Amino acid sequence: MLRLEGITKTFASNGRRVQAISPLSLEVREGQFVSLVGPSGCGKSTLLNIIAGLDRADAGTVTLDGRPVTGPGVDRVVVFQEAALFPWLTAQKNVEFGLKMAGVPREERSVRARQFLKMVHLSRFADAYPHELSGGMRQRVAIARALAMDPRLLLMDEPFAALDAQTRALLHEEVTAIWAETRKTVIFVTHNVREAVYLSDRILVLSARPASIKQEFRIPAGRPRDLTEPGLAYIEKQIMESLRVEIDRVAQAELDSDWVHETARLLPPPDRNLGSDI
Amino acid sequence: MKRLGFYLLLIVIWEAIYRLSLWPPYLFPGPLEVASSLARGLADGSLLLAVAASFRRLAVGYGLALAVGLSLGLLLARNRTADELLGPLVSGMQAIPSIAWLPLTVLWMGLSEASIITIVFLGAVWSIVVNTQAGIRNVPPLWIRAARTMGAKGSRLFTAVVLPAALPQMLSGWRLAWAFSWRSLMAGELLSPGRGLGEVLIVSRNVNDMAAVLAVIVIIGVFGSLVDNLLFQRAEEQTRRKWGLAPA
Repeated sequence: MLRLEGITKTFASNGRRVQAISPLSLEVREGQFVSLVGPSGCGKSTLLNIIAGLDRADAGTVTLDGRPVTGPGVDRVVVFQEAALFPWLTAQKNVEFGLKMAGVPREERSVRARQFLKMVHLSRFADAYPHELSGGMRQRVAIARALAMDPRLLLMDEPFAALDAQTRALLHEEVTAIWAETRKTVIFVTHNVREAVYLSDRILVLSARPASIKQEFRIPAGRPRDLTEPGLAYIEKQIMESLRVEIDRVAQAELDSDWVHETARLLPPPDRNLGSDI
Repeated sequence: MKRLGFYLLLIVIWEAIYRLSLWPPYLFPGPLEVASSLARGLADGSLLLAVAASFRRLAVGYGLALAVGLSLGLLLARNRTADELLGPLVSGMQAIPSIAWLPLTVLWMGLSEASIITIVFLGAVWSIVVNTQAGIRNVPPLWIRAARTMGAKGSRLFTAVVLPAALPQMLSGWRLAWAFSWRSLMAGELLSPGRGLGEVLIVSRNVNDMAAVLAVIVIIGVFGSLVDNLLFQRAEEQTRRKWGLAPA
């Protein structure tokens, strides 16, 4: 069980103090897949970093299974947007990295790394260096590397944002399958609502800065999901609308004052020519 | 093959100019004379002795520069105060051709082995410091964060992530330092007596033996680029290939 209580965070930028997270509390039960969606720059990655222990909250506590989080730890492994693989190590050695740090003996390390590379279907590329892999493959290795640590909590920070749509769709299925198999608790940060609906049990919409939980959605559908199903499409639309307000708030703060959000309307067809071609 | 032909052509042109006798042979020796001078020097061992003496100085000076440069670079990369205080000094020192120190080192240490080694050391050490520091400073924070979430910290984090990540840039610093120390060595040897390639150069000039001068220059060029090619270029290439960086 992950519990966040009264988390706040303030940044100093150009001498001004910017509040990134206003008091935010959250509970995530074991085995849940929770997505955080929010407008860009709203502080969702900061929140994830605080859970990972890479960043410190100004106030509030994070506890995992009752133990307070004070720094990075192997019970909470992060998969970053860029795979963050080490270019001087092969895929296999990259997956072994965390195990090596934990002092796991060589043979066991090798066996476990192979097992997780197999899980992400990259056994054939065990000896390839990261630059020899495609973006999607690299992200698979990063996932294998995280899973090999057998963490209590898997933190994913927009892991598929840099991938093309086809690769992303493949990885969504993959992550669903892996989650079903390992039953890890996952916190998934994204700005892609479809992705969140496809993957998650719960979706938390964060407000524009300072981030707080604006609304929570539960997705009671089984997996694998079909996003064209009316129920899911409806939820997706609701989340989009909830998020839209926050995105507009960000845009209004950043763009010229004459900017207004225009809702969809009927555009005249491009070939409307008042009969001048008769 | 194309390259070999080109160099053969250059030698032929050289020989042709020599045959035109525009300058007296003691000012402009032909390739055959240089080759025979080279062969003579190698056969009687005098050139080999000089090479050995020069290489010894180079090895000591460069080795010291590596040890000091790496530790100083580490210190500057890790300690902000040290960087603020010493950083400008180091980049200033880097701008000074090390041979400029020779008058001082001669005063302090005499016309000795130590004085030349100091010059070699001063020629090499700064670019090692600068590149070690920059290499460590430029390690992407993302890798460090990733390593930390996987339980790496302290010296393990340093040896398992920071050092390998900084290696490419450190390597180019070492290579640069090698070129600098080779130059410094020659300047030092020319200006202060003692066995070595520089001494052979001076003595040959004094007896107007231009063929021998050119023979030494050939040796300097060949050894310098041999080490550069076999050691540094190869190491750099290997890391580049492994990392998937574009060839330099």
